[in-house]
Amino acid sequence: MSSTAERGARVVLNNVRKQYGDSVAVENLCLEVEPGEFMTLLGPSGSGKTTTLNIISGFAQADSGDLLVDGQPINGIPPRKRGMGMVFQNYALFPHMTAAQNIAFPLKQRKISKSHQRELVSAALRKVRLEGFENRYPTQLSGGQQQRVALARAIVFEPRVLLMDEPLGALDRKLRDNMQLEIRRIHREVGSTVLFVTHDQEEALALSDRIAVFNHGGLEQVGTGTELYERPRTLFVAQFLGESTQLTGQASVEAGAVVFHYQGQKIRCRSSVESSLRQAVLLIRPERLRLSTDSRSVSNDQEMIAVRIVEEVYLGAGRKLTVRLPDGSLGTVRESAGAMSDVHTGMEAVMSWDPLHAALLADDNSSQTDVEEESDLSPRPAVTALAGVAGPL
Amino acid sequence: MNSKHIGLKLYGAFVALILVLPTLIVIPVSFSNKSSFVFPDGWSLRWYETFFTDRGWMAASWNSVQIGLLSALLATVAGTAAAIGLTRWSRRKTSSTLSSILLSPMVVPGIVMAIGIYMLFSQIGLLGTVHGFVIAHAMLGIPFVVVAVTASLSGLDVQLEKAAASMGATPFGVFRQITLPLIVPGVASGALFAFVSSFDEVIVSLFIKSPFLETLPVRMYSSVTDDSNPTIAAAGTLVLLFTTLILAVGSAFSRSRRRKLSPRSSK
Amino acid sequence: MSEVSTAGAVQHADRHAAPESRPATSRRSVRPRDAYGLMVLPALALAAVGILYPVALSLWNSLTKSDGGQNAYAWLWENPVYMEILMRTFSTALLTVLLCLGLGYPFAYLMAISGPKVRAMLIAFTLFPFWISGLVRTFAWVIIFQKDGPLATMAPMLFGDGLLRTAAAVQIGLVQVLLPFMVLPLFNVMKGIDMRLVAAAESLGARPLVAFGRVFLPLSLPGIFAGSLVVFVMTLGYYVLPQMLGSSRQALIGQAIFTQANDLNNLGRSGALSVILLVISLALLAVSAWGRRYLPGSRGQR
Repeated sequence: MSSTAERGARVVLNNVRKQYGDSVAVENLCLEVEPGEFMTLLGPSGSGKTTTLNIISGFAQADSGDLLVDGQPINGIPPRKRGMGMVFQNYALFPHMTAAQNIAFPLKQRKISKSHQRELVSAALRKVRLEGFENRYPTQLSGGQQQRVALARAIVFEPRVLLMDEPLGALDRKLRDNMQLEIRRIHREVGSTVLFVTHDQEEALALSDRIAVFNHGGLEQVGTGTELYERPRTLFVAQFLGESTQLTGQASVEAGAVVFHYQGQKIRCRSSVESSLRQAVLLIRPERLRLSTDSRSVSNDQEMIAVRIVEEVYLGAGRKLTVRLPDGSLGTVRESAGAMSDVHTGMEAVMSWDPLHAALLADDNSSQTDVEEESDLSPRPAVTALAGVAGPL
Repeated sequence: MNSKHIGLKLYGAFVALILVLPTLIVIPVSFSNKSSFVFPDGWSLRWYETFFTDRGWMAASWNSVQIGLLSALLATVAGTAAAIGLTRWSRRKTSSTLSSILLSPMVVPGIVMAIGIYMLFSQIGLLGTVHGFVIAHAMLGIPFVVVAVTASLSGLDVQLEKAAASMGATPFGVFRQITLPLIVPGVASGALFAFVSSFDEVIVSLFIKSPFLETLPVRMYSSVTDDSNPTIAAAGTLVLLFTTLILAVGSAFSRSRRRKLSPRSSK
Repeated sequence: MSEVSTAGAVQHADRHAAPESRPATSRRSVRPRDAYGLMVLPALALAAVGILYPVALSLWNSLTKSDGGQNAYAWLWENPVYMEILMRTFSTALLTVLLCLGLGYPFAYLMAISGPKVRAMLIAFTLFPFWISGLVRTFAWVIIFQKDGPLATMAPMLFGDGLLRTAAAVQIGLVQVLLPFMVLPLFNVMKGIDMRLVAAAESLGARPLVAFGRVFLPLSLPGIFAGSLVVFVMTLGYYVLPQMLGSSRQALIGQAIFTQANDLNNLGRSGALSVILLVISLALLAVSAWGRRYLPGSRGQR
């Protein structure tokens, strides 16, 4: 939409590198964000996404490389002159000012007339659906309301770039989901280019036009949610976003087509994948896998392997099954309620899929975090709590 | 914690009384009708009369108030600047050393400081001057300001200053609009302590005074040995009243401010 | 109408604060790193006048001014009176610490286990002396202890002559005045001790007193250490209180310094005594800083 492009800036990072002491925070960073785009910087903690945001905002200086906004280099410009809106994880609302005064703050710095300030503040409050809250102090607001005031404050001067550093981290699940919808709506209304940092892949998928996945200071892949989910280019990206079932084997090229060798079987792969791999992982999303007790029901264009059902979990909207793969490892299959098969725990079955839905990736162990079938990314609260209790004793 | 520990609670009450009660003896004595420090059996206001009519006592009181205010002001400005500088400075070791130096009046025995200041002042002609008193008392008050402001600063979220900067505020603008308003409790508390410490200061004042310029504590101290009549009890009671008043006003302010900024006060 | 306001917004270019174009320098913006250091200067100047110079002067005098033709330190060394004074000061300080500890520990404990209202009240009582003029408090003791004062009239058998001008008066005065300085550090440490640990010990079979002694007491050690140190160092340096309540025959080191400087004008000797006093105080503080790091207190804190 051309009107969106007018209100958002193009942000370009070119070969940016930043080092803190002995450790490199980001390296060889090249990223282009289109005007008005919602770009999420996604990755685990320490991956460099927050450093990147700090470089863009000006609170960190890149050691080398270029940072361009609308074609202009802004490396040496202090944060206050960059005109970017920022939303912080713990809101950073000024406790001694009312919501209206908080929101008016950036306008005040720009010496905008009081009456005009009032107009813009009202407009901003309306955008975040907080009309009437002008004279509340931050301590009189709930978490979600505080976050909205922070958002209003960041957009009130209609910045061309809006930076958000894990703004929804402190909210509970339901509030987060609501706020995600709000953020999407506000983004459409305001039209700024948004750079959004998070470690929550679901959030990234829900909000973004495109996602940049960070790992150990470098970019693994940049693309839309669909691209990253369906066609991940590295094992890290595939494992970071969503669950998956992984078959470990070798790849080779035979008669011009890529073949995946797994436990004595030769499995077809879609032609567009890389062919120069040896050790490889064939990765299939759980919802793309079908289970059946009858191998004859599987059509010829599908691939299949024999599995044993280890566990099934009823989820209401469907069920999740854990299967034992031929090489001994475990895989995950999801079936929705409208299309459930007749397999149950303990049975032998065949697991089939369309080769188009499988991704062949290098087995580089780059993300050997947790070989959990659920690929659950939330921290383990029980363990940390135990450690805390055991400490003093 | 109600019926158990009854012995401990009685003990607590006993100690609390020990902390406060002995001091209060000055009050009845100040109303004594006798000219000595015996516990009075009759009441009179003559000692207050003496206090308010005596030129020496009045001058001393006025000097103490004046010097107290000026030195508190100086200590607050210098101490607040120092606290901010020390907290935000990146050179850790230097700032820690300097911090120790600034806080040392709390540790160095008063008599040692008094003698040294006396000699310095006599060399540069500051003995018996208001300037001299203000400088000396300000130095003594700075530790209080530094401690209070540092405590306030440490509770300040650094992100607030970052946020303000990202919104276009100049460094001075950040300080004026964000930092300063939020450390006002610390500054005020430090200023209050600085004033009270100056108002109460004896030993250094004893050395740098002149017959024409003495503060209330100096006058009170010498009157214990020289006069030995309850005028000093009247003075003491008034000092008690004065400092209690300051304390009450100060804590009332801080309580109202805390109510404004406390979480979920109205919802 | 949001349409109107956004249209108006586009016209106000300054609101966008479009990034200025500048040659791409990846150098940090030139704000002197030591700007913060400059803010310390005024206070430092005052400290130089009030602390650094006086201390240096005392040191200088002690080394260079030979009163009565003799080096000050040598004279002190030869004079048993001053050893006596030093010992007396030490023992007074020690006794003050022990009495304050005995009186203050249970009080601090009560503060730590009380609910917020009672605790606030107890804190107010403790802080009261900080606010009320030290001179007035000392003077109050003068009234109480004098020959016809309340103490003498209340217990004529024991205190017929009043307690003024005695070491006992000084001791009592010191304890009452310095008690808050013991209570506050104790309380500070105690309030951080997790009481569930004591409950845990009791649930494991220990009697309450044993649980207290084996669990709470050791954890409160840093507070005991800190409070004792503060009280000790402060007692060493006191002048006004011992002078008002005690006798010159039982002088403490502060009074000795005063006498030498003010009455006798022996700047060398007063300097020497000052230096000795300072060195002892600083040494004790250094010990406390060292001890705080190695004492087992960091665990068991909430």
